[in-house]
Amino acid sequence: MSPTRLVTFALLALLASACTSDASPSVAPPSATRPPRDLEEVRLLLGFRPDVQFAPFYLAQQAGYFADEGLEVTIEHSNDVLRLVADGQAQVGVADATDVMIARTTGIPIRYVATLYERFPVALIGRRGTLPADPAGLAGHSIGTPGRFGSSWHALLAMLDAGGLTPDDVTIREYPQFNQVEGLLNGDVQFITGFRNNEPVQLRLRGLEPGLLTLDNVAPLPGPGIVTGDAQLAEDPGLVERFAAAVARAQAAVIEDPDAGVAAAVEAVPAIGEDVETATAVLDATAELWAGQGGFNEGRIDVERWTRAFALMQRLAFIDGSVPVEEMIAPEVRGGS
Amino acid sequence: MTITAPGPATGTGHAPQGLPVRLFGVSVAFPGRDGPLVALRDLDLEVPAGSFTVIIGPNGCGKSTLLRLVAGLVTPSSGTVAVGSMGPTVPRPGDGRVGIAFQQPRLVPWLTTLDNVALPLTLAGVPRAERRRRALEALARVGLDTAAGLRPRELSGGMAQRAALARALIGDPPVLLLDEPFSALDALTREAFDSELQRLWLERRRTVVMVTHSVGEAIRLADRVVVMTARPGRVARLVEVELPRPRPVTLTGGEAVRAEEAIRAALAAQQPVELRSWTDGDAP
Amino acid sequence: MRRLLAALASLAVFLVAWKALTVLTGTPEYILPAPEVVVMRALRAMGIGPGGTGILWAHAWATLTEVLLGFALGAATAVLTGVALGKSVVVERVLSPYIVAAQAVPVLALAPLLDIWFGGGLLARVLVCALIVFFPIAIATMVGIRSADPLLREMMRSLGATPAQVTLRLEVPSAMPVLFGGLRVGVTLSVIGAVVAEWVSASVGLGVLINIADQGLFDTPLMFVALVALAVMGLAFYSLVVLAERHFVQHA
Repeated sequence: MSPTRLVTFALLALLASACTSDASPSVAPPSATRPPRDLEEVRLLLGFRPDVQFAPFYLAQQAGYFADEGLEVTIEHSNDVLRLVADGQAQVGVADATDVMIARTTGIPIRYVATLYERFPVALIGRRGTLPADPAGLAGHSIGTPGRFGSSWHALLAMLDAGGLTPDDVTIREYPQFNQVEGLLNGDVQFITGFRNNEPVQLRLRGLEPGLLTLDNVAPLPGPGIVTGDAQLAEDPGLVERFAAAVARAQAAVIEDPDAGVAAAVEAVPAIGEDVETATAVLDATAELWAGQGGFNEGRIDVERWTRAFALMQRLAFIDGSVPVEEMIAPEVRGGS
Repeated sequence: MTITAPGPATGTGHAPQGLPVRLFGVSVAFPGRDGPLVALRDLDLEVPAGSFTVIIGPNGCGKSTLLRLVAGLVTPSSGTVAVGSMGPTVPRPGDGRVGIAFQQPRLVPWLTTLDNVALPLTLAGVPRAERRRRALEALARVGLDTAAGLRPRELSGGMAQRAALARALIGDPPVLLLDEPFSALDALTREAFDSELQRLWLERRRTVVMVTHSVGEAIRLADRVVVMTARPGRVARLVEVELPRPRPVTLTGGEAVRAEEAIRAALAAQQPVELRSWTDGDAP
Repeated sequence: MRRLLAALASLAVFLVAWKALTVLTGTPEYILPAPEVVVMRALRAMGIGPGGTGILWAHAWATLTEVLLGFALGAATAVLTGVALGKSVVVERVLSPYIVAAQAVPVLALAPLLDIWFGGGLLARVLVCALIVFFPIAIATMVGIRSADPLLREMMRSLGATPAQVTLRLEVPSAMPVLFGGLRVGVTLSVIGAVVAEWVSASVGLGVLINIADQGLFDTPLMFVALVALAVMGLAFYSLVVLAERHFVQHA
């Protein structure tokens, strides 16, 4: 589908949504007409600004996947997903697995119930050909990262650890505005941490051909997933299960037809339509991260990977191991692997 | 109220005598909302060196403007103002030839009385020790030496006005300008001040030009009384007061009565500006 | 003594109300920690008692440096500019649109630009503080300069005072009460500026500590510790300004 046609399509979709009072106009192929029934209200918290990477949620909303599960989902954005979801102020959220480990260990009753990203989205990025193949080769280099917290920091430390290094063996520069790309472009740092589905696309647009060093074969950490509170899981696990099922269905649909995902994102967030080409590239890269080596796993939790990641996070002193990995996840929601 | 006998001023470095003041054909106009406001028009006045001249006239006749001309605070629109007869005669603020005391004491609130009195010397860059010595001297002349460390808000109205007078006197200027300096004081205090002022003048005989609203004060102090017309102001009449000095507070006798009647008659001839054009403002 | 008692009493009421709120609403610790939880966390962060880390000091020191340098720089330039604005209508006409515009743009939006222009180091953060401090002090100085009594102006002129002397000996002292009002506002704003700047670019500072506690450690009590540290800093600087004011403004 050409960009022009896509924009037209998006505009038509926008018009359609403006003409209907129903919050779920059909953009993707409409699901079977559903009998009118009372939908359960679900509040979903996303931890990042509206973005094309959330296309499955937009699609599930618009194409009626949520409604098919008896849910009416409202999407909101917050910096404090874990605490608000744990407190029941939202039923479900999206968060990093490594953050869930830390939050759970500090006593926040939050659980990771479904995998969204099979591959850890943060990687080390540099000019193509400059990155070492072995993490041990990072010693003495300068690396830009947003701050000493969050998935980027966890990924960087895991990467260094895999090479037998600590942060003291490299020069770290912090970019709290997540603008480490600028640092790489103007040569302030040699490498940066970045999201595999975002920064490489940005760099290519700015004329820098990126190379990546990923955690996939080095230190596989579980990626972002769906989280919910202990109380929610105890009181109404069905709601969480149905929500996760609808999201997995939407992810599969986007993998099948990325353009439909972009269109859904454009309808939900018109600003994305400003640069459909980039949005499509980002969503393509995102969809690759949803599937692991064994393909898309429909959100099931890889307990074995969690157990190894738990040990790594403990070795890196992010957690003290006082809360076992079993209390951090709920594999039964999507059926354990 | 008594005043301690002042010692002679030392180290002031000024000419011992007063300077003459002359105004020739002076007009002053200020910009106003309805066109220029003419305060003085074609005013001629000669103040002999060492004389005590009192200016009296209706409200708004430009008496204060006349003093500001002599102090160099106002530049005439036309005509000339001369202080002294030799060298540069155009008055310039801070040239040391003129001292002025205003209707309000105008003391700087955050300075002590001593520092207020010494302010002219401070601005002129006089060293601290000399400033202090001369300021104490000036305070003693006006009987305020005990108040040197007080701040203006701690002074009574009379004390504040004495301090202002001391500030005008500290440079021992040949010409002293007084703009109704005692008008805010009660009648008794004011009479005492008049006596002190006369004594101070008799000590040094500097040229004094004083504005007042009080005919009694004019006769108590003046060699010569200048009666001004209503605005635009000019000289309506000059009344010489030939009474022996030092004069008592209450004056009796033919000369006092004659002078007072002459002043009152000249004043009565001045009508509000609305009723007369400036051209017929001449004295009868 | 009575004032101290009143302050302590109001603090006690505040703490009791805070504690009561946590107990009555049953709010979890990770949303609203009880005061004693925050105190225990603070002791640990200050390196006091078992398990103490002392993590607070380095962060507080960094912020303190930014606040002080930024305030000093901002206040100094603001006073000089305020004097010029107060003395010259032309200067005011020319400069004030830019000054007001710079104030109207949120400092949160300007901070990333300053960060890019000034190399992302301490200088950039100090400049953010200086910028946020500048406006209230410059305006207060301007208003203060113009508040000088015109009768005293004429008196100074009659004594032959030069324009510089009028400024130094009359206008600036006259401006002091208003100026100190601006300094009081400015010093508290400087604390805000430091945190904003740290959120844009810093690896240490109380703003960074808040971020780490919030986004990295999910340690709500530690966020409160950082907030209390900022409040204490603001109160301390404010009190210093008030003390200086008592010293410099004797009249009125």
